[in-house]
Amino acid sequence: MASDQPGSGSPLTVAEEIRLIAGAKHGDHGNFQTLVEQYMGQAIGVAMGYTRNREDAIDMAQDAFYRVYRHLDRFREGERFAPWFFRILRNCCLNFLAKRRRRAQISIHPRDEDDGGIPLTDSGPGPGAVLEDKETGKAVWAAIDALPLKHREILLLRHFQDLDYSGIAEVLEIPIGTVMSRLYHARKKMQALMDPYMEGRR
Amino acid sequence: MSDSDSPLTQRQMQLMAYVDDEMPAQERTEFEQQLAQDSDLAAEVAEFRRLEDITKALQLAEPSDHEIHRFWESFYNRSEWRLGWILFTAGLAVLGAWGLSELLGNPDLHAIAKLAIVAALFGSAILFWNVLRIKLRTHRLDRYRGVIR
Repeated sequence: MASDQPGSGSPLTVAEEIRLIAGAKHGDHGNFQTLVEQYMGQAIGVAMGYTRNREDAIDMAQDAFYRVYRHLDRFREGERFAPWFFRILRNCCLNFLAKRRRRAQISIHPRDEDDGGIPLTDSGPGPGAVLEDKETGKAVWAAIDALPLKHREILLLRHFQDLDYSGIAEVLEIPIGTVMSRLYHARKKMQALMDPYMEGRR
Repeated sequence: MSDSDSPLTQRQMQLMAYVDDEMPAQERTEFEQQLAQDSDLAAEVAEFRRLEDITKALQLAEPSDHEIHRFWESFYNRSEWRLGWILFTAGLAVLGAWGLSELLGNPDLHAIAKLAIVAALFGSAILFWNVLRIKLRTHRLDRYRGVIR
């Protein structure tokens, strides 16, 4: 699925994406670079949902792109790039969180119970969120940040990456029925978290 | 990450499929008729749409030039390190095995000298691995490694 996220370069059509991947598979580094440029911003945004820290999110994005680069030959023709890529990115992030949790067990610093992540205390409006109304941006990110990891990731994949149910199912390796119920409950929780803010603005 | 979310009712499934544009056209028309008669359902759809609009309006900040520079620099470093280490380790292993077999096979060399050479080689390998392990761990935990000094 080509990106349609604003600011992430001109969106690629599916045909362009296939052409770029085919070229990258044959060692054309320029093609790979274009693919990275297209997805880098989104990858950092999604990784932020896991790491809650931009520096770590950039590392995760790089880790994922590096794995893509090394394993491009495993990418099957006809497969969609975005779900494949975000599945790799998710695995990188989950490995990172597991390592961080292990380190936290021997660290004196308190961590949050959800995923061993560092609470977003210095975040401002989240991963450099840009919204006409900065206050809304802050409120949205605070709400996203307060969600459990499984709800946070599904919301990011649906609302920010615009993945459809089958794409999300592929990334999270869960059935479509579970995608629907998880997304439903994520939205309900997000709604509840946003309600006081929205009420205040009415 | 266990899934403790309760399963959805038929109505909630339809609501989700409608909001996310995953509903076939025929079903969509029927659902819209239902929406026109059910204000609670219509309100829920409106709430979900509003939430989606708010979050979608939020744009993720694009990486800065410094971040892109750091990304590619580290990307190439990683590729070069990997290739470098593979070649270095393979070369060292072949050279070490050959050198060792030459030395140990030398009938003029005293057994104690052979033993000392083997011990020194293994000791060096252990020390080298130890230094490397500490360096790698320190690098991974260094929060300021991306800072250009």
